[in-house]
Amino acid sequence: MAEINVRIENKQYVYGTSVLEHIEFDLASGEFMAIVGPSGCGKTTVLNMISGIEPSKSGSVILDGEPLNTQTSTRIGYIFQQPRLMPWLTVEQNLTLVKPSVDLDTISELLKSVGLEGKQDCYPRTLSGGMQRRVSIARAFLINPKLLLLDEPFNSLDAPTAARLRLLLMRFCQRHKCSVIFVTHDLQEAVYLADRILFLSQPPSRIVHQESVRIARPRTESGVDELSWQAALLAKYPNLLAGSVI
Amino acid sequence: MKTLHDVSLHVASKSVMKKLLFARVLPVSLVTHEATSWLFSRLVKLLAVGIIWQTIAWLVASPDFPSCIAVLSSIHFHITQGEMLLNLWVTLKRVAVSFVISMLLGVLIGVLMGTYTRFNKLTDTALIIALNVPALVTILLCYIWFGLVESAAIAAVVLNKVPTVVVMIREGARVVDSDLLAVAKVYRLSPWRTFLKVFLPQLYPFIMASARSGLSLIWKIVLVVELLGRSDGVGFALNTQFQYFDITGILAYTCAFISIILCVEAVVFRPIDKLIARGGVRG
Repeated sequence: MAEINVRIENKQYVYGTSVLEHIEFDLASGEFMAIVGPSGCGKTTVLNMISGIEPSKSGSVILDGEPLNTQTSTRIGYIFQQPRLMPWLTVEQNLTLVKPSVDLDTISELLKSVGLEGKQDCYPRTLSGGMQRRVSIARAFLINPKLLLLDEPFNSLDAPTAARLRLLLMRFCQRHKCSVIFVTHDLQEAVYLADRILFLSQPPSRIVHQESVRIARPRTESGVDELSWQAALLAKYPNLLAGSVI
Repeated sequence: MKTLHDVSLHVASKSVMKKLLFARVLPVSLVTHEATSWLFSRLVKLLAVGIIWQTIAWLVASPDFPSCIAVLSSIHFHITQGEMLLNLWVTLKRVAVSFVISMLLGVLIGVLMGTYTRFNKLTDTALIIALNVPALVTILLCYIWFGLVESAAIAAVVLNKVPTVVVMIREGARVVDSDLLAVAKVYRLSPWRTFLKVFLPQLYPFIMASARSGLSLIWKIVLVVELLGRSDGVGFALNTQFQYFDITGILAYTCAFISIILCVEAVVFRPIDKLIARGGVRG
């Protein structure tokens, strides 16, 4: 049985522009799914609706057989395009903000596992961009999420830092066995990370194609399998990322 | 004669007192270090102003322009022989009460106006009117409506100050980062926790700005209020000095109260300012 079911019908912005026509998908427990699509097709809107940031009057998000309630559901982690740490709080305070009951040993261990040992008392502005991402990853996993939402979290990072953070993320996802919805416009990144890829059309968006990635793990970013699989996918559906209907 | 033991006990008790006073509010080092250096630089500047003042008074040589030393002597006289300390204390109490009430009301209304568009539309005209009613009119009306009582004086000051706080806080609430509020929503923070930990810290620079301007405005209004309808306080004392055309006395009271405000700035506002800036809220 699917753990998460998402259905969105005719989602419009407040000024009347229709952004999502019909999006419906299931996500199995522990599955890593990527959503790929052209810029402005509403990928982030899908995540915002699932997380409860945007009201989901035009659809439903069913988590564990129950409709998502923004007040009571507490097990969704979200790693945004920007780290979105509170600048007036230290690293430790940023973490305890989302889980006040957590003990300091857990925080120390978590920070150690993301490579930020001894940075508890630092303010975000004193950390590099990569370090801030690590804190936001730690924050997301601190609540032991059932569902993790990733909105192009490695977008503005340099290649080596992004690669390190991808590895870190995969390690955490496997340890916590959470389901993941990962939004990106980078097909290579999607092939490297995901079990399944959904392709969205131009807005008003709908799912135009989905493909299961049948490449054994562990994968490597420049691995032959991944690159040839990606090339084959693009050769088969040349207009996939431009959003043409297949 | 003090023994080494007495001295160490004295130092220890001072240190404990500092900890007791500030441990829950502000870090000790921030308060003492910041206040001392700031006060020192201010004292140097004040000394420079005093020298210039004294020189001009000497050049003018007129009873209408008393010298700095004459004013300092007058302060000494009013403290030792007169009721300056009592009047300063009474005025300071009125300033403190009016300040706290104005800030609380102003922040509350400002947050509501900045957050809820409909509430803002509903109250915007009233705010503009309140901003433009002369302070003197509000004071006179309060005294006529409520009588020459303490509550009328406080109400008059509060009614004059609240609109300016509201304007500043409203602008702050309008530019609160919705991305950070989204984090609070995703991680299911309670509304109260979201307000305290995410919303309010973004308003700190605006609150500090309105508090600073508020203090300077409030004590001026309090003096007018005291001059018009109270029988104690600095405003009342100034009125008495005015009856005798005692310019030295007027300047003595003014200087004494400004000194207190400078101390409040050094001991309260500056450390809080520094504390807020540590997290980079001010960029």
